[in-house]
Amino acid sequence: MSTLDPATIFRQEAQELLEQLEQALLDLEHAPDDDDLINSAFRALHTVKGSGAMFGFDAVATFTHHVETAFDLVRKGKVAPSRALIAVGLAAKDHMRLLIETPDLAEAADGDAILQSLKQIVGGPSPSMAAAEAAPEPEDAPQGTSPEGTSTWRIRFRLARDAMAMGTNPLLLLDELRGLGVATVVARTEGVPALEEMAATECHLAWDVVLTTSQPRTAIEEVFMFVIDDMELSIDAIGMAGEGRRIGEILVDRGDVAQQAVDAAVAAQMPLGTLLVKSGEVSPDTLAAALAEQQHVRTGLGAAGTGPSALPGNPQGGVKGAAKAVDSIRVPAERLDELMDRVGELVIVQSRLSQVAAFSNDAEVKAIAEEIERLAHELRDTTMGVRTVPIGSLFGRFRRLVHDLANELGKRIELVTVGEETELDKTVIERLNDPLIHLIRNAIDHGLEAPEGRAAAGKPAAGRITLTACHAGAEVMVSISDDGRGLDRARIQSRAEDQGLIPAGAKLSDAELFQLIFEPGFSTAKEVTSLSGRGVGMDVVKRAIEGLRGKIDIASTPGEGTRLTLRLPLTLAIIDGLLVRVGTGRYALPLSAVEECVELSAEEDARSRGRSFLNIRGDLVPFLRLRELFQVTEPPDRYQKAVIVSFGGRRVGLVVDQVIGNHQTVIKSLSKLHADVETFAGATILGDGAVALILDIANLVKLGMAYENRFKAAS
Amino acid sequence: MPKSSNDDVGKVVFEGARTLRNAEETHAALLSAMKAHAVLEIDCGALDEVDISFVQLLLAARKSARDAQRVLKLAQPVSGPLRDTLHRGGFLMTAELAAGVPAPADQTTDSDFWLHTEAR
Repeated sequence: MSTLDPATIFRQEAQELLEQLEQALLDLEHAPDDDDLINSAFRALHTVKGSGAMFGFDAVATFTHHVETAFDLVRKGKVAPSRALIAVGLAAKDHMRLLIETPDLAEAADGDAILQSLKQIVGGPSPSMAAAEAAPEPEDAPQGTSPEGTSTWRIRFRLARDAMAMGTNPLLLLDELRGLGVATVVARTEGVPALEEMAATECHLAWDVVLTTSQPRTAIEEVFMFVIDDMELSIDAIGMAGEGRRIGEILVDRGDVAQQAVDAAVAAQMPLGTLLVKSGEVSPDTLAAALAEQQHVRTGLGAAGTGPSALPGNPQGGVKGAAKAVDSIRVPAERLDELMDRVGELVIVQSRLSQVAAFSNDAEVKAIAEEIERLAHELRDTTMGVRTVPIGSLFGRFRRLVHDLANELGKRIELVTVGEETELDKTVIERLNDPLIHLIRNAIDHGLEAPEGRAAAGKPAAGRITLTACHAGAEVMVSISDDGRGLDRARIQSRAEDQGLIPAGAKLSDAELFQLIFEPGFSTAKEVTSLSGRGVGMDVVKRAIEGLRGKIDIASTPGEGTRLTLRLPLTLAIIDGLLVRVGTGRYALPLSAVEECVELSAEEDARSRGRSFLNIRGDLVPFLRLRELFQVTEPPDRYQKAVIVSFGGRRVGLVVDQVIGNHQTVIKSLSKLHADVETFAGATILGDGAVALILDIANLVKLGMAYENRFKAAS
Repeated sequence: MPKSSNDDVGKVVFEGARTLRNAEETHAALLSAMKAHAVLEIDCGALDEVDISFVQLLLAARKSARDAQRVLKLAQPVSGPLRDTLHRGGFLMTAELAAGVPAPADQTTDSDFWLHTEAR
């Protein structure tokens, strides 16, 4: 087993963190007030800095430190997350990536420039900062003063030992505080000694009260007027402004725990409360009191006096959140591929076993074979599940792309993503990246009109690109739609005629015509931009998608937009196949492509000689005789079968000697030597150990179409 | 008047008013009952007036029991005047928020004690 280089681990981790940072920054643009986003960005920076320093990426750590400092001001509410700041933040993120991945290419001057602009944005003494410095602890108007004139106070008190004996009832004091406003009261019981050591009338309790009131501080002091001798009392203003304060800050602010302890806990990436309690830094009661304060400030009105039922859920940073953290481990992708390979082998052996068991008379063997079959299938599904990742990780990358393109082209674009949780094989997701980039660029560049054009068409100024993913049976549908001008039918037709792709005046359906844009060299764009229009791309897209055994459908309505739908298989490694026999050879077809199996009657067979068309419920479907294609010399079976397969909306019959049945097909790719063999997509191993070739349906359908066109042209 | 039984599991029943006025008596009753039994159950179901001093005595008893590795528990989850007092004093606020706060391994939290939630 190989040990991973720590630097590699850091790079992987940093990549995820930088993605998190980018997402947070992009989201902040739309929701500048969202504290969670600010915190998320800050945490990412903080962690990159920390682990960068730990793994010897000093340049990264130093640079990130400055960026972190800037975002710390944002987090503390001293600087607003403006668009300018977000733009610099994104540039900083790119620079950090450079520093981590290709430090040789990172220009120190670029980094300095970024830090300089960052400084300009956050460095100037903003009014809010000046205010905060001028009045650190205002007496009667704490920074928590809200427009309604209420302020929030943290009151901590411990009565004199003999206070109760002298006739003070703490409950009445608490009631008085409650009378001033909305109070959250938490008793501190850790000072209570053991029974033996305590006098019955002594008071060892203390209280923490968070009070939101419109009364001045003096009103609070008045409550304690008669007991003030010998008691401990502190009254501090706390800001309602810092509503999203994290529990660590509250604990430090309250003096319950040292900043270092919080930092250590944050670095350990565990729920803070849990960690601090575990390490003995704070007692559960102390934590609970701090949580109560957080709760009070967050809800803005406290939950005191109304009893526990009024408390919504557990606060963030609290401890129930621990359940949310999903344990995960990082596994190199190759190891998953290996696992998948092994499972593939197992499935093959299992099907051999099933075959042997089927011919056996031993009931026990049959039972075991069935059990193993069930287990192997479960193992296969689980393994496939391990390899799947949500497509959201892919969609997320496009947000930056759209953001940058929008700026470059001067268009306003809104990216909507739906179904990010849809899971897909990791390999498929990776190989989808480039095609989707092409398609999104195309949609933005060609699909969406310029702002004037949109206004003229009565559309909202911001164009909308929608990315959708959903499961449909054994396929995943990924679609890219825009609300732009739609495809120009007439222009595509004339262009295709010019290029000789279709005969002049040919009448094609929308689906057929639109497929032409995937032909190599096809472009209708009048001007070439840096993004698209050179006719490179769409054919590459199509090939990439077909390489994934996927399909592309196009739907377009003039003036309303275009939707491209990619239909992709869930996994590349194992498919449900249909096993057929031609002569003595056995071949597998992807079951998803099979529409039906029909018998080719002797008369039809004889009648169709030379024409090779089948009549399927009134439709003429061309067919290919695989016997001829594969030059089989053995005599044919008496009853030939035709398997009707479809691809891209076109159907072709494949005539075979025998349809054997369903087969779990583990795809083994052909060697490079056979890369130019077009008829076969790969090979699989059958139950008896023999090898069967997998037919490439896309290619066979194309062959059939060529045949049909020849026939049409001839007639 | 508190009554205590001599079973293996001791039981103290508090009735009527338990306030500062009879705190010394409560203190003594708890002390002697705890000496006599390894497991002590306190029945607070029939109280009609309590104050902070009583709450504090129960907390102190709890600490003693914990120190001596004995068991002290309430016969039933708090209710009535005792529950009201706990609310007013902010004891159950802690309990509610502490729910889920990991307790040190050797003890249950106060919330468990008051509300009989130690089984969680």
